[in-house]
Amino acid sequence: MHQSKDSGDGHLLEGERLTELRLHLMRTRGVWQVPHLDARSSLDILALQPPGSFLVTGFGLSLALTMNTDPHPEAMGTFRILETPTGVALQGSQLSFSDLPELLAFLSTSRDILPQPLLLLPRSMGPGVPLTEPLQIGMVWITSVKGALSVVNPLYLRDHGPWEPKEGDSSEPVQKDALAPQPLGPHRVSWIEGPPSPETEPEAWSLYSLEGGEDKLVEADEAQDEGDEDSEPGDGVYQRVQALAQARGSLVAKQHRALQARLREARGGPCGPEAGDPATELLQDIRHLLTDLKDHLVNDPEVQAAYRARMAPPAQDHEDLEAMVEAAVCWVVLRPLQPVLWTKLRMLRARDLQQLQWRQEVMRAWALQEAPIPSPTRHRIQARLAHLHTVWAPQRKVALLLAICRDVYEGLAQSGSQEPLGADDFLPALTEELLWSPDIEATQLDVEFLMEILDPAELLGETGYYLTTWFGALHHIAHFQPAVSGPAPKGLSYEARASIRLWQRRRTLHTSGCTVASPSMQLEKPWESLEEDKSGAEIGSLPGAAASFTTSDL
Amino acid sequence: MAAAAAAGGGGGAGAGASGGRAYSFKVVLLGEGCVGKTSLVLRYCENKFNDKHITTLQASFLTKKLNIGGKRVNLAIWDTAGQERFHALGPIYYRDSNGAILVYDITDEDSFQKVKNWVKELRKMLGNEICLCIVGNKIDLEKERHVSVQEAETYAESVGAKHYHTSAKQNKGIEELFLDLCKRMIETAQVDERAKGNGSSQQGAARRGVQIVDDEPQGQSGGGCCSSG
Repeated sequence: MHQSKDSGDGHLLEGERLTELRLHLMRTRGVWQVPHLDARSSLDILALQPPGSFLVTGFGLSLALTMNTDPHPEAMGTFRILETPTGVALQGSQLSFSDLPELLAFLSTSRDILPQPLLLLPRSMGPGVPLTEPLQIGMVWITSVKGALSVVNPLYLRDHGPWEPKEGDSSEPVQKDALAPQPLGPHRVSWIEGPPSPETEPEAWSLYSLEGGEDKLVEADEAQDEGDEDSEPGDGVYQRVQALAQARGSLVAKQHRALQARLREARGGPCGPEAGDPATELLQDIRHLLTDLKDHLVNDPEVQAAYRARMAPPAQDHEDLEAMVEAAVCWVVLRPLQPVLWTKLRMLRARDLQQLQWRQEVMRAWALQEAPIPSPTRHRIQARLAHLHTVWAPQRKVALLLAICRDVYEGLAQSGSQEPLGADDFLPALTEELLWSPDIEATQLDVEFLMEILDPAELLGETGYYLTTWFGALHHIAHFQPAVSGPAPKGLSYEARASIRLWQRRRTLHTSGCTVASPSMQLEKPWESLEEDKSGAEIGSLPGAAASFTTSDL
Repeated sequence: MAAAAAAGGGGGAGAGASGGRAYSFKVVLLGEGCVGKTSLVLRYCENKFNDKHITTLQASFLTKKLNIGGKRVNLAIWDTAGQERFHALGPIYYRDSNGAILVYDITDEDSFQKVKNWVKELRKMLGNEICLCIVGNKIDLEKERHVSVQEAETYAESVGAKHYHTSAKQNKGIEELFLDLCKRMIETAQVDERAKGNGSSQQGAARRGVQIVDDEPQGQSGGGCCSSG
């Protein structure tokens, strides 16, 4: 067993390697430390990962290391981490370390009291290194090892990208990795049995290189399709709104400053038991502000004059003017604040987004086992998903989102029926595509942003339907339970209810404006009655699901 | 660009209702996979050559304009995925719905059971404001019927729903189903307007959003459950 080959070569490099490992762990802390996750859910997730994979959960007294102890079924998977005056230590161990990265770095090279060393495969991946698309890589693993183990650790892929596709034709790519902890041996052994056979590898790389090329094609296509977003609108309506924004005493300028101040606040909104989700409230406040401005500006004589000057009388109508003013307001007020807004949303949503990402990884591993054939339009969809997050104008985002829906339908049509398809086909297909989103957190934020920022009237139509479906697909991923193919959990889970309640609440807020207190309290009731007696359930801790999903099922 | 057109079409009713009255109704389609939900609405909306939507390949969101006794009605039909694993998403689709069409396959007893579950959930969540239609589809397969007409009709009556028999294949019973549903939704909307005076005549969305909240005003133990959660 490779795990038992403890401390052989490389003694001289040990100190240096530990430092590297520690640095790597510090950089990737968000990946391995999930404070809100309970140990049990953590074990569920790790059961899908290779032996030695680990997570650190909890905080303070509940701080714990959980790991997949797979070849050692008798071993415990959870180890308490004690916070000592000088740092941290595993309970029962004599060794103390200054911080978690140092502890984990050490445990990845030497098992100490663990049944085996931690699996840690560092290849530095700075923020500038793009994530590569994992599915193709996953498929390559499957085909090249003939199903020895059909799951590729998504953590590995996210963390390190595909293994060295550009380094040439080596059947043992691992040995080039000076940072890899030697006691574990070649790291692919942790994922699959036996080395990938050399003949099949070139195929893998061609898939990989093909992908980059196609992305560029799609981007060019997109740019051509939808014009340049950054070219400033030149019409009179826009110029008038812009001028008002620059006039100090104007409403536009005041509102703009109010919004800037709002974004600087530490929290998203008011605290207290009645306060809703801060991210949602922030977006709603922005929507209210945009609406106020729009209402004000459509009645501004100069805006109206500019509009009349631009349009021949038969083309004039109130809705068109409103749309133009809305676009202008977005450009003048929303656009400059966009980077701050996204940072803020990511911060406010950090916990949910992390859960989404974890569940995505679990679900990806399952998806790879079940349906490793990507839809014919996947590359295009992924490029569009990436693009979706980079555009800022709500209407452009909507156009991209709907274009992706169209791609999904086209993909379905190419692989089957030419008849129009309903939700039975569409929702699963969309879910599958979003599962491979290059940045699912960004996708989630894009959807939430649009749900709040779009004019409520627009949400009643097709856009509303598809946004709802995206929200549903992402919700499905964020709450994926591996046992889902077995008996589904009865009723709505705690998280599902919480999320839907939020959604209900925001809808009610949108439309009724001032009745903040009563709706959410009354909405509490019906959801309550659907609830199972799982009070205080934490994320992912559905006992039924956890019990039916053990390592022996794999 | 398709987006703008679609959005304008869908959202028109809320803002532009001033010149002549138009009702905007949302109808959600529920039922197990394979019972024929999609074929049913496709028959009705004849979407095949409709270029208003994002793609002619789609039948998940369909619209239809009607004129019933001089009253203009815009129907938006929201399809849902029937697979059990997506059941928890039901509420995000049926919220704010004026009507629900619950489809089962007359040759499949289980699919009728699923309809019953949906009815229970809808009544619990939305009360009596939502018009329910229970639809036994595939009557072209009468010989293989596994759900008795009487059982289905008695059940529908017991929960205040209307029951219909349809065949998407033979285009039977579908017009009647939707026409009936629209009439009932108009009635409900009118009753609702009268009850509420003239409070929120302009915003259809506001009216519906608030309705859900108003459904169960009794039992105000909200404070307790909030603080414990």
